[in-house]
Amino acid sequence: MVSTTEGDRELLEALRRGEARSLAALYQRYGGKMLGFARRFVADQDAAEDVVIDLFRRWLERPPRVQDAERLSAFLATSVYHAAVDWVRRDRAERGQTPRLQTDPDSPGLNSVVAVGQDVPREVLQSRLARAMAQLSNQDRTLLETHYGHALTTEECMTLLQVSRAAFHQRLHRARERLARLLAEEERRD
Amino acid sequence: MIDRLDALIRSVGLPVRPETLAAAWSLSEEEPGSRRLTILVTLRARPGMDEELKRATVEFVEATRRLEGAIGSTWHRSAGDPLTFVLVERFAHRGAFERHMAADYFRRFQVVQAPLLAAPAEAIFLERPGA
Repeated sequence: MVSTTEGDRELLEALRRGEARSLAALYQRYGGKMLGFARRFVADQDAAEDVVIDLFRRWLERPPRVQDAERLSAFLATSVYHAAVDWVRRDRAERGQTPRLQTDPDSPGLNSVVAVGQDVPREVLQSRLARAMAQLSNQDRTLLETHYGHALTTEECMTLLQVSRAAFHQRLHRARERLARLLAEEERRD
Repeated sequence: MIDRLDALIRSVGLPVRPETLAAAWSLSEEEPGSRRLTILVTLRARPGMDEELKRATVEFVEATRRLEGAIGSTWHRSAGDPLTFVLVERFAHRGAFERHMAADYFRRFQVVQAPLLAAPAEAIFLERPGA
C-alpha cells in the first residue's frame, strides 16, 4: 500500500528543483499504482503503460508541480486520468475511430464514436454538459461517471453507494433521464 | 432522448470529478513488478544541428524497433525547445537493453551524435521494484 511519507516530500522537492532523476524514483514508488489506475480507462496493460510512460516523458520536459505531499495521490490520479483520455482520443484518431478501449456490457463505453451536434462547437456542448451535471445529486453524478466515464466498475459503484445491482441499474436509468432533461433545458437556454 | 444523450457523451466525453478519481485511485490495485525497462533519453542539439540530429535519431529509433526484445522506440521533439529531442525506448528485459547497447547501430549513433550535441545525452531509467 502506497502512503504519503517523508520520502514523498523529499521526492516532490527534487521534482520541483527539476531533478530529472527524481522521475525514476517517482516511477519506482508509484508506477505500479499508476498503471493499475490507468488500466481502468484503457483496454490492456500495454495501453496503460503507453499512458503512464508518456506522462513521464511530458514531465521530463515540464516537471510536475505539486505543492503538498498530502495531495500527491490526487495529483497522480488526475494526471493519469487526463493522460488516458488524451491517449484514447489519439488512439481513436490513429485507428480510424476503432480504439482499444475497455468494453463493459453494461455500458456504452468510450469506444463508439458518434458525432453529434457537429454544427455546435465542442466547447458549447461540453459547457452545457457541465452545467447539467452540476445540477444533479452526488449519487447521480457518481452513477454517470461510472457508466460513461469508466472511473469505477459497476461493482465498485454499487459498494460505494451501498445499492444492489438492480437498484444500480434502476438509479442509473433515472440519472440518465434526468441528465437528458437537464441538457435539453440547457440547450433551450442557449 | 437517452440515445441522444449517449451520443453526445460519446462525442465530447463526460468529465469525472476529482473526488470520484480519488475513490477510484484508492480502489485501484498496483500492477505487479515487471522485468520491463523504459529509458527516457534527452538529446540537446547544437544550434543549427537539429535537423541532422533528427535524421540520425530517426534512423536509430527505426533500428532499435527491429531489435528482438525491444517493445517500442519513439522520438519526440520538445514543444518548448525545438533543439531538444526525447527518445523513449522500451525493452522487455535488461538482456534486450544490453543487446541494444552492444548493437552496431547503437555504436554508430554514438559516433554520429557526438558532434551534433550541445551537451551529453541524459538517460533516465524507469523500472519498478519486484522485477
